[in-house]
Amino acid sequence: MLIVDSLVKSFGGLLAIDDLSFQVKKGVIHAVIGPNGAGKTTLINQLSGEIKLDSGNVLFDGINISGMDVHLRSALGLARSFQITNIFLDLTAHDNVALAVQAHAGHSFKFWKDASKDHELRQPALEYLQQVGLENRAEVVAGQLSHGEHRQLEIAMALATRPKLLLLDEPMAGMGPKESIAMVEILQELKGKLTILLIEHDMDVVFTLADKITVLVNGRGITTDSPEAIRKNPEVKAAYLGEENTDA
Amino acid sequence: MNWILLLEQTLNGLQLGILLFLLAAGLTLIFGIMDLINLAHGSLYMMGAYFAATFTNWTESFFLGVLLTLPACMLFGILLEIIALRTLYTRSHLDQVLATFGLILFFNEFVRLLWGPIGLDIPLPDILNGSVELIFGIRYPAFRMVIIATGIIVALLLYLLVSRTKIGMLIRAGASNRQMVSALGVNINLLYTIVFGLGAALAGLAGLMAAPIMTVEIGMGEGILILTFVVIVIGGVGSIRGAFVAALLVGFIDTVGRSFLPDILGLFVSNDVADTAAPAISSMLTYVLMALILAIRPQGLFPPKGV
Amino acid sequence: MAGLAAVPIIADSIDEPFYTVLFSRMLILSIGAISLNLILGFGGMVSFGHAVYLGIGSYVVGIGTLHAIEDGVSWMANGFIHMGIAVAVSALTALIIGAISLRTRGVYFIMITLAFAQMFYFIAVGNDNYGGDDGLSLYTRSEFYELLDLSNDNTLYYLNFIFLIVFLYFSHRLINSRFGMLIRGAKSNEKRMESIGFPVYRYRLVAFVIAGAICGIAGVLSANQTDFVSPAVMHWTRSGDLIIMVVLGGMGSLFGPVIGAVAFLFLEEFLSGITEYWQIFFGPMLVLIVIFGQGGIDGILVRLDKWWQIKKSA
Repeated sequence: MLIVDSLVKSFGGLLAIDDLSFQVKKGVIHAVIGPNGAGKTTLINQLSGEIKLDSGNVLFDGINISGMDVHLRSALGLARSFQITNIFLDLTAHDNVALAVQAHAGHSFKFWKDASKDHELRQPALEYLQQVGLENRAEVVAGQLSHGEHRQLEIAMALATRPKLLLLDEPMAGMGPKESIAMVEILQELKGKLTILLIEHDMDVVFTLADKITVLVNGRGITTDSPEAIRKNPEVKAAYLGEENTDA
Repeated sequence: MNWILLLEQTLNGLQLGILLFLLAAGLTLIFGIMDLINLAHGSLYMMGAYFAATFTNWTESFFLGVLLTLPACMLFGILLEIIALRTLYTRSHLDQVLATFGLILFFNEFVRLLWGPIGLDIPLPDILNGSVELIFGIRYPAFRMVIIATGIIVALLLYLLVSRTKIGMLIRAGASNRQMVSALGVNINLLYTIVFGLGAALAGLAGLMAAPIMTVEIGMGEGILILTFVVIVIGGVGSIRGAFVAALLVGFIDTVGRSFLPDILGLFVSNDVADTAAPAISSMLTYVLMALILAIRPQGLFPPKGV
Repeated sequence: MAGLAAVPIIADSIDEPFYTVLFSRMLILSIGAISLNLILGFGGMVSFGHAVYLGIGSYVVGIGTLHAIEDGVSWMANGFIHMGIAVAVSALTALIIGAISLRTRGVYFIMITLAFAQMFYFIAVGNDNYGGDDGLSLYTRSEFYELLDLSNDNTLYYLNFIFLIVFLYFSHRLINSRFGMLIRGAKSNEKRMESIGFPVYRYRLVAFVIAGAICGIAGVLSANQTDFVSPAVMHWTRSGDLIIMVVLGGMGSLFGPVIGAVAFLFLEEFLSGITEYWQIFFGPMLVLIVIFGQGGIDGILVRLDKWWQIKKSA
């Protein structure tokens, strides 16, 4: 599904991603973990196309997408959520998702028909809201939703672009325990229906959800393995416990 | 080809470029560091010219007038920053455009009220009024040479200030990464005020030097302001080096284009057509240059690092 | 709106045809402001060169009627042709300016649109065949066969009025369409729009072109209104005035630009009646509006309305 091959990215002189390679298989939840500053968000930004990579290749569904623009990657079926909530705060939840539906419903050079009464956009949008449990909040302006609901809305918007691969950048960040549980349920519901690349700090969540885990330290992938193997891996333990001591 | 004319026009282009640089240097820093689009920068240029006219009149000496004008402009700029512009830093660019547009209207009207609607002249002292001999007996007005020399000296001083001093280091850091400077615990308000005052003094210097060769009139800062924008866009926002290169480039192309385009066009089309088309085309040259450079480098020639 | 429809009748009845002309100008500038509002208010593109299209529309009429009268080329006085050419040339100009400037953001975009507008201004100034700096007086207004006689100010007024209504309705449809949703979304969060798969640049460019074309029509009407064409119609301060109208009326509201244009011209009329130096008040007013006012006049009305509702319910 996704092949990351010898990825390199540096900012100024600082190496953020250092020769990183791994593969994500179809239909799995693949988690990327690592201490702060390991380069996780940089990785997601590169996969979604917001940051250009220095060298290496990214193959998505057999297509080399390394130099592709963001919107073209999205058209191929790559969707993402953002670590910092990134939605249209002045639109309703329903409008937010309808926009995402619109993005993949042909071109938008339609100047006359009222989009807010367009069933081709509104109906699917409502269904995606249902999938994340927001159907009752559909007509609330997004700015007035709670933090947890924002994250749910983000997922709904990503789903609305009908992705094959979903990149989730810390979907649980800033959530209370209750909201986290709800989010885990949503993601479990999605498991098997599409492929998910998950970045997450909460280890409980990672070990509950993930089929495969890649550990990233200082921009290098030290291992990719099953959750059980990762749990036992001494290198991983050292990386997490000795964060301050390991000087790259 | 008339080589004497070419030399003369090249020097004229250099002199326009110098004026543009003095305006652009301050403005590009204000864009780069404060992220403020200040349309009223042209008003500072105008005030420089009017101050110079008034002070020269009072003191009956051009040199004393100049000495008084520079601090007056700086003070004026600092007051403007404290009273009106400071609140705009955090606003959207649109708000900044509107407010500084309002300031232009105010200053133009203010000048009309205070100095009257008729333009002023600044008489030059005899020593600057003559011409100097270049090579082969070619003569060039002395004052224009002074402008060029002053501009080059100021450019050098600015270079030293920005590259060698502590405040210059902060300015450079601010132009490439604003958050970093505030994180360093520097008194950011003071830095902004100093940069603005410096920019105002440079704009005033440009105004006072332009005053004796162009008329001192209301709205004199607006046309040159837009040309300054072109310079900044070409040079890259926040880059003094870019401003310098772009200013000379624009000054040269604008001046030389205007004087030689009819002849050059005349080689291809009839003289009549060339004479009518040339003014329109030559006024397009600088903008076409801008468009070309942007098409290749949307960030300008010298985008500050880290942006 | 109904009040605006009655202006010529009232003006005639009190024998003050001046008001018809004043309101006519308001209608025309409203159209210009509506077109700018599409990209500025709804799309967040701070174009500082919108008066260019006013200029293009005006010069199409000026140049056309000049040749029609002096060289006897009668079709060049035809109003339909003026409209068609004005729309085409404005759209093409907007396409070129937009294609270059929309690649940039923020202060760059503002400065570049301003610079291009200045270029067109200088082209008009340098063009001595069509009056150069001094401009052209119209020998005749645009001709619409037997349909309309624009030499009558009241007829022209109603033509302006109809165009205003048409463009208001058009922009109402546009901003609520899929295209409009996209443009508004890109103003709110461009990065997000790209990540859900919109090629934002090309849609913005189309919006930019539509706005330019509409403003071209306003230019045609404006030349007919003033019987005069000069580079001053596309002076950069005119672009600034249009921005003021949009912001004054309330950005991104449908009727905002109309309110803004009417308010702007009233202020100009009123303040310049008090003092020749009216801009000495208008300038600082603008600064204060920016610092303290939000949402323009429309925003203030909305807030007043809310306050009134609360007071009533209490």
